[in-house]
Amino acid sequence: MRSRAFSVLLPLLAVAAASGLGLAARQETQTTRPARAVKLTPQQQTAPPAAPSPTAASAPLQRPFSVRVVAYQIDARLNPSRKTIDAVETLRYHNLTGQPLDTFPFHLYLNAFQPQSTFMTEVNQMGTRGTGSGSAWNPAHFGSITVSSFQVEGMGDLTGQMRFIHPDDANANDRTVFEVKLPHPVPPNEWVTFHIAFHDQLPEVMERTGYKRDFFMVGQWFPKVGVWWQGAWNCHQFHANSEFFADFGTYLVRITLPSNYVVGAVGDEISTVQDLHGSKTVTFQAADVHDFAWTASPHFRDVEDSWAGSAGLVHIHLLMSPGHESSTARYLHALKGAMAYFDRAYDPYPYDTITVVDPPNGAMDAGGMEYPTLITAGTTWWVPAGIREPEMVVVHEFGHQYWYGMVATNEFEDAWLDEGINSYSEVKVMDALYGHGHSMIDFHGLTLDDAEEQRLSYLSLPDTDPLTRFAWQFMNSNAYGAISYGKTATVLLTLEGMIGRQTMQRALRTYFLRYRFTHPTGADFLSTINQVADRNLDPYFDQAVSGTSILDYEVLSVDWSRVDWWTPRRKGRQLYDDTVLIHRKGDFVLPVRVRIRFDDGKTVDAQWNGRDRWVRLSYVRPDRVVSAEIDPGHEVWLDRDMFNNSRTTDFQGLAIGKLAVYCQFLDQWAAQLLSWLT
Amino acid sequence: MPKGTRAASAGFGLLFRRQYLLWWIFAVNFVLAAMATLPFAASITGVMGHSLYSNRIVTGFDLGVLTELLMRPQVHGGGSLTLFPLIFFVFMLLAEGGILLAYRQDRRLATGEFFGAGGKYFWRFVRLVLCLLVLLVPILLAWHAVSGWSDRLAADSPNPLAGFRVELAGGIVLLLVFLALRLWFDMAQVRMVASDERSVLRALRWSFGTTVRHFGSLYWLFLRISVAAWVELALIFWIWMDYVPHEHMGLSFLLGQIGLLLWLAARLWQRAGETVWYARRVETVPSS
Repeated sequence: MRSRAFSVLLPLLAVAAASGLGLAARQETQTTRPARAVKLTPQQQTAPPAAPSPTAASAPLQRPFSVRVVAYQIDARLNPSRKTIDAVETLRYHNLTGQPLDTFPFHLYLNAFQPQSTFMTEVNQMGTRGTGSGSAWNPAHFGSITVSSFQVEGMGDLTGQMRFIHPDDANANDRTVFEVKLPHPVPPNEWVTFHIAFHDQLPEVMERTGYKRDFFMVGQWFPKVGVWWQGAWNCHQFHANSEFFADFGTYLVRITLPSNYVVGAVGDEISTVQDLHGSKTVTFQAADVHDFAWTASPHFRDVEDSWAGSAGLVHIHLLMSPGHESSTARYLHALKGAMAYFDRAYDPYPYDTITVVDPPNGAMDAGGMEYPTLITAGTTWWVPAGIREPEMVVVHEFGHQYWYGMVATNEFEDAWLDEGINSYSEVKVMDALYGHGHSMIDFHGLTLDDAEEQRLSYLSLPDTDPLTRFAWQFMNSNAYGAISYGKTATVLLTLEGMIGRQTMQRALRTYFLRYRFTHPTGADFLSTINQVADRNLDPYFDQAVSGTSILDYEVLSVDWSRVDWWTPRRKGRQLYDDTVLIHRKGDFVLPVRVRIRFDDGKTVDAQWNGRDRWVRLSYVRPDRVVSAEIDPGHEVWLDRDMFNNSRTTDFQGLAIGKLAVYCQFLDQWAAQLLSWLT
Repeated sequence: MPKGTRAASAGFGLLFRRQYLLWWIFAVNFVLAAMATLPFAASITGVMGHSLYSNRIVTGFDLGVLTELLMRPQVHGGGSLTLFPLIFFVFMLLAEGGILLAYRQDRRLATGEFFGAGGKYFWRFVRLVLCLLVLLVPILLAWHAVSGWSDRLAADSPNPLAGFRVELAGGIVLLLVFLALRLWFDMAQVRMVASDERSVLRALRWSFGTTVRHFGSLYWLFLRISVAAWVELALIFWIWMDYVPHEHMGLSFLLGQIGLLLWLAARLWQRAGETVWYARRVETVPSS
């Protein structure tokens, strides 16, 4: 074990020197892009925005966009060989809770990467992204954050007052949340300033954070204050299946690291200062965001581009890793397409920059993650053009700029609100960019639509948990993914079928405009949809959102007989008794449409409220029924079994024949291959 | 022209003259696979037989629909699909003696003769397979090591291609080694049938020495037919996926079966070529 006293103290001195004392030894070499980057006055850091109003929907957004509760300033120094960061943080917190506050909880997320933490215990039990359940402890995944000094202006050094708390479980070994009780409370509407010195030991990349060789993805790396929400502190421990929740505010972050590193971060790079010892200090500034992450690698190629949105030019930084050059154009196409779609469908992207990080080989666990104005993607050198996984990841993570970045829901408690709504938006963007029916895969005749992929994810575990379950309380990590992403997207696709595409888009746009830069709840989302659709959709939401019942309708039989069945068959006009039996197999009740087709080609549509377990539809006509189909428009994506949604009187042998031909071919070939051993 | 080429063309002539063997084995391959496919086809018939949703498989190849189908608990048939290749494997062990005898004598064998030869050499060839499996162990271990190395490189090397290149190079080398091994055992089978050798070890010793001494011509004969077989199959796949319309099931079937027939033909061509080579190089110039 290393001596923690030295490892904290020495880098602190270095950071102090770099941030102020050592100015004389610097050379300022570059100052970049004031563009739409904002100089923040103290007033601007806290002034609340105009109250959100649905009628002010399309008014241009004015700064400040958000109620700025926090203002962080961090001076950090990266030690690439030790994989450590030493930093000092100044946090100004504005008490807008309307009551005196004397207790403050802080996240220390990096302490999750320890064998006895709640996070690692859950990973061991349930797995997480990139790590299966029951995996052995890998010491390379050790990470930690140590606070060496905690001072509060006007109240002195409170380092000794820090105590770890466990709001979600009784795990005394979890050190991802600590709490400090102040000697006297902070009055309402007053400021309190914290000075915190801390030391990070980064893990080998895991769960979005860490290093791989000389690549660094630094997320959830600084002591972050909890959110006063719904009348109490909301500061959950770090879990295997949860993301994050924080208040809006401003960030001014100076990162000192070797000069050969290319850096990307949340917000705008406002200056780069070279020192005489092979290091540089890069300063980033961001406002109206609720997190700060950064990345660095000496091997990044910074592909700069721009996109003209309705709110102005957005500067694009694409930080590409070696060997992934073939994905550059694909990333940019997906990113710009997503930006254009969101601009049209919801509202313009209000920031002036977006950074896309392409993790290098072996660092895929850092991929597919969102931070305000910075997202991580993921590709390989070989992925063919028709397999649109890299595009989908970019589209999804950019979508989080809206559903998480601006509409900042509580990802611990309402994962479905960001991941699910975003997965639905992702389907829409992928359809718009790459075509419905083959938006995910279009490879030599093999096709897969993104909506189908979401539905398959839902089908894998359709009834284990309601959407509204807290992220860490799902049955396991697969259930968290299947429900929060796949089922929510499927629920929203079905809802779109119920209320219409235009209304659905209007509802989401209204929800976005009404709640951007705030922390809405599931109730806010559902009531907005009810309001815009001008319908009470609660019976649907009760089952689809809060419930776990299965939706499965089937056509049980399609039959006809002559009306005068007891008489001998005769030539000429006949009347037939056509009957169709529809069965609701699952407990989920949803009105459905049934299309009945007759042998003269005519169709009749019937509506069934689905309340009973079955219904018999009967027609007396001169034609015989040939098929019946529930949900002929394929809008009820939640239906678990699409095959039993229709029934024909004729045998549908072509598909069976085709699959049998393929299956036989593969089996013959496998047999011939095996016979090479004889 | 190298001797290998002459053996290859003579082998092709032999394959053509005795093409009844090819058709016959192909028919067994086809019928067994059809039987193996029946339970799967029957199970999907229960799900798709009267469903309009199945049209999405007819007019395209929707992976979502296919996955959804395979997720249905009613769909099964994996057992018979696994069993069939094993039955075909045993059948080929039984047929191998008759095939080599027919090629050696360059005449049509009566059914009784064919299976008589198959039965006669069956247990010898089983022992050969066991020996081959033992020798495959180090190849599989080597493959495991190469895979582990390439995985480590894929995860740790800054060059994203490093792992793939190692895996590709390692795979090609090990495949070439396997083909050499297969050639050695092929020649042992030819030897057993030609000289009615009962001892597997003696046949292996002889064929090892012969293969090593004539490695160039024999390996060239064997390798290029193998390569031709893989190229032919890749070509069939390409035509199938890119040029055959989805709803043309008959054309798909025909193309697939042509591909399999040619693939089987390539293997029999190798056996015919080896038999010709043996007759010309060993029996006309007696070896020690």
